[in-house]
Amino acid sequence: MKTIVAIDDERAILECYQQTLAAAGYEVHVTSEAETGLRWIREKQPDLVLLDIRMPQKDGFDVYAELRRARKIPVLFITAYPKSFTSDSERVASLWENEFADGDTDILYKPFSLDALYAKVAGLIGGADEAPER
Amino acid sequence: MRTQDELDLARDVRRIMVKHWIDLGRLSIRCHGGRLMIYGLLQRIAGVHEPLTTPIVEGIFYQVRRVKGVRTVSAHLENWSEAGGMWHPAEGVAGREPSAATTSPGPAKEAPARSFTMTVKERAASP
Repeated sequence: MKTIVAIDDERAILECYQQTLAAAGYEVHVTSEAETGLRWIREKQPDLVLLDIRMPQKDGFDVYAELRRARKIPVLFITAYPKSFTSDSERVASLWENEFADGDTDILYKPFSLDALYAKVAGLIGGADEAPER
Repeated sequence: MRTQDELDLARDVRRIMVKHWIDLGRLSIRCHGGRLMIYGLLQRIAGVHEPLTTPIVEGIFYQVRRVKGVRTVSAHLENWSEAGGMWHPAEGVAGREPSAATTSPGPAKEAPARSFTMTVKERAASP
């Protein structure tokens, strides 16, 4: 079963991931704490990480940098669309020029439709019942 | 086509989009059975001063069609439509921004999408 770890400080969003993605056949682990999420990523070796950007203790960019140092893993940022999210922002420009350039990182803006969430997840790791072959 | 190949193909297409500063947050890219599906809004992230134009969009789709393994491209875009072999901005929806305030998931309000499907008949011999 494909495993997803989701890190977001909003409980309602985490419940949404838990219910919808688990119902779609993925194994989903959710946490509102970045450190817990990073530990789970090390322990559970998930197929995908869903990551909020704005979080109180450690923002999504910092979590992303840490998890990328440890392992190459697809990441889907899911964030409220901030007005500061422009190419004029050094961090955003860096995302597009460096991190997103590998094709293993994607982004989805809140609010999102469930169809959009399923499509993003499936586009990164395939459907829950599709086993990658090599 | 194997699942991993399809994931690799979708990854290659995302790379092309990123190279053109396309806002991935508004676009979905999936591949199934050699059929590439692209839907949502095709627009650049805010702050990129050069606007998307017909030649640029056509260039993007040219590159997408050349990705190894792509047999059919099915584009279902809200803000671009294809007519007579050329891409045009759909009136009234280009530049639309998603809500910045709402954080809970819910049904997204979407403009009627313009569909276009093309089959890749030939591939250039050069890599």
